[in-house]
Amino acid sequence: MNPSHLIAALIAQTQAQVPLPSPDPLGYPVPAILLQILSYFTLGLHFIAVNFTLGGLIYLVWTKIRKVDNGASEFLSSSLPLGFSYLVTLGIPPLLFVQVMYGQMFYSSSVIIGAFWILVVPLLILAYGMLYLNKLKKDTRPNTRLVILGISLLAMLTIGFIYVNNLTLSMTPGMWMEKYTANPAGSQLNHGEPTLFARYALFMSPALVVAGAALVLVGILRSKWRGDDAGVPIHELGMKGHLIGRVATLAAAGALISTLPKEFLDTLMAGPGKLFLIFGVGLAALSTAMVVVAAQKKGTVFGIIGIVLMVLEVIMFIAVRDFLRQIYLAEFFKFEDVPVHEQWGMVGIFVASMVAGLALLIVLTVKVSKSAIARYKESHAA
Amino acid sequence: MNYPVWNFPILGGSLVVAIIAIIHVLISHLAIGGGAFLAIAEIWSNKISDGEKVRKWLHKFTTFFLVYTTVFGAITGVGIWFSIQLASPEATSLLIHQFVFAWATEWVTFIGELTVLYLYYYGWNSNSRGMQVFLAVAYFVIAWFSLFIINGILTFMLTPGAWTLDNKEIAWGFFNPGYTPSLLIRTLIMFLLAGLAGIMIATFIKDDDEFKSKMIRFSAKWVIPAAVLVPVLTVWYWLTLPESTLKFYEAGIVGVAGGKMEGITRFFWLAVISGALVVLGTSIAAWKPKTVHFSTAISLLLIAQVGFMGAEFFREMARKPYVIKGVLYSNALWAHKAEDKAYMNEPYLSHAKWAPKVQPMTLEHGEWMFRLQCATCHTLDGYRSLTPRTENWTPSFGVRFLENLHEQGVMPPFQGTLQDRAALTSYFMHLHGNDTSPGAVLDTYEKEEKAKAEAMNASMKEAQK
Repeated sequence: MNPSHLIAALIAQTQAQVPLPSPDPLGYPVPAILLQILSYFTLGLHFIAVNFTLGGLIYLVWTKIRKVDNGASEFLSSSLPLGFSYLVTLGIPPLLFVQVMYGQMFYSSSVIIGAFWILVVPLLILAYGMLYLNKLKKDTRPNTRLVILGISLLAMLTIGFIYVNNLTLSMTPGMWMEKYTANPAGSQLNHGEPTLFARYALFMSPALVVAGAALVLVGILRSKWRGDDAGVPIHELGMKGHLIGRVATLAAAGALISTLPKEFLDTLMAGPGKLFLIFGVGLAALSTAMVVVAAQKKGTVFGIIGIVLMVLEVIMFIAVRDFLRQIYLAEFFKFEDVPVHEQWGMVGIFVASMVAGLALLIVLTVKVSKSAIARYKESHAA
Repeated sequence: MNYPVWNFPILGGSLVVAIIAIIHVLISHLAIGGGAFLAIAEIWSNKISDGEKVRKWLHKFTTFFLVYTTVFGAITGVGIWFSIQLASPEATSLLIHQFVFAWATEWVTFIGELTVLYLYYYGWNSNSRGMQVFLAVAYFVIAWFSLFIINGILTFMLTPGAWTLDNKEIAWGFFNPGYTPSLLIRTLIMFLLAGLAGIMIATFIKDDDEFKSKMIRFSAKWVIPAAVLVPVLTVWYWLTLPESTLKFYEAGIVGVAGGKMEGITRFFWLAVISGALVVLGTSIAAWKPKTVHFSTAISLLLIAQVGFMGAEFFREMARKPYVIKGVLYSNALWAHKAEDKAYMNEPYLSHAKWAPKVQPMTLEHGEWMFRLQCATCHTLDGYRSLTPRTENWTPSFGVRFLENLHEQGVMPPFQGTLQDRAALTSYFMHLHGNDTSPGAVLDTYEKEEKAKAEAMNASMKEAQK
């Protein structure tokens, strides 16, 4: 379906039966703007963890296929299970906030593709379990290891595709009734959505960017701690992958712009979305510049700044994505329609526990890391 | 009917939730109790002569613990969310909107326990002994707080206490009548599970029977608090249960088409007997530790899993016919709307958002009545299947049965008109090869009703004479 047909379909749908659920009778627990900010921030962290893990897995599979032993595979084998556990845990708050803000849309689309949506659970176990199997089974033959990693990668890519299907469907209520009545068991995906594959590509391609930047930093640190050039192949691999990832992301973004309905794009560019988009692109350019400088000068600080800028960049694009969602849903739903029954006491408890928790974790991580780094240096000096 | 109903064949949405939840509950409890186990074992290993051996064993325990709880525990936890939003979106929405910041706070504990566990495990060779003990204790405390929070939301569903849709008082809903006994029972069960996991890991000790016996006996002690106190706490928990739940339990309820709804009673006793078997099995293991094999240990864990199945099904059935007791029925009908007779007697499909435009009094009409009003809990041929339950339905029986559905005690009231009941009855009869149309069902019912009324009039006249 091309964009003009989509517009025609959307108009037709608003006139036809659109089974939009009413917002929850409890309303929002805080003003929507706060939910948006929390959602952007936590989703940003989740996306970074997703990109690191997925991208890291792609690099790992690549090193195994090419039979390259440059130290990257050792680091990735050991850190990907951690990355996976954080991607799952960091996925919880955005999933919470999307249900609060857009529950009517999100639940409906989830049910419509229910059989696939529930498939995410076993796929997550499969993807995660395979990463641990790869880490803990030391005596596995190379081909078997490749199969293990391949299964994990395939499972992750499938999960991403199911997510994109659900979230695009949640933005187009006009498509729901026909799909639901044709298949109430939910064994269908969001076929016919013109932006589906472009969005999927845009969702997946930053994996090489983020994991590439992480490898650059890891390579630099490894050389620094060991006092040799052992980290150079790692940061070179990361650098190449990072740049390839940037090109792929640009192509995916272009594809998405070409499939988006023009009216929606115009509305986006006429509002605050334009500003966030410009900031996002600027941060992306700066971040890549920092990563390149870090790789050339072997400067840890540049690498860290590059990654921090990348987190901010992702948050900017998440905001743009949300503005676009609001444009899609404008016919059906606005935040202002939902009453607010404030729960400031609970917000206070959440913020206090987060501040205390993060402080404790930072102190503990620094302490434990110091002794681990000292031990690493000692063992390699010996 | 605000949301579409997920018509997942054979299993149905509710069994999908149950399967994921039952697996998750055991692992999540072990994930917390295991933290206390690690902390105490760390401290103990510092005090005994063969402490290094214990620590080596503890590393194996932690590897199992880490993989099992983070891969299966964390993902099935997320899986519960995925499944409840499919099976009961309305209830999930209510819980999320009421408790979002409680859940967000619980998430802080997840990040905390995950990070601390990784620092503990990955720092095994570089951390000081003091740091390892501190991390193990910190892990347990943080993990227990996650229970402290989720327990409020879980017990709210059965005993919401003074919370209402109007007052929206989160503290009243959270610290509800069932909160404290449930928290204590779950805490003790966690220790029990940690002990069972310890016994299982101890069976991997080869060629050192003495050490194996020592670790099995150490692990078996973790079952004692639950063995002694859970029966007492269960009595307390029992006293907080709604009267209707106790009635279901005591009397059993005549269910759909003459079956007996004794599930709640059966599942309660399944939990009790499984618990007793676990205690008995562990006592034997502690008495003859050298004879304990991996198969014995895994059997104990499986029996505990069956016990959890009993307890979880009991908890779910105890809420019937509600998903949130007294607030929202299992099929997404709000309790306050059920009191509005005009609303309840409207043609159902006219206000069902997710019904397509169907010709009234057709088979399709009946099918969509089933899909939207029954399929949240029932399938046709799988879990809680309606095909066998409606096997002997006749037109008049079906229409009357649906009219008085709520009198079963475990079913929500029927929403809709006489025509809706006739269409649904016809649909069920059609499943058995009986092609009586909805119109014919209605005719038969009305004729019988008329005949009954005439007979009654005649007998009254006779009596007056």
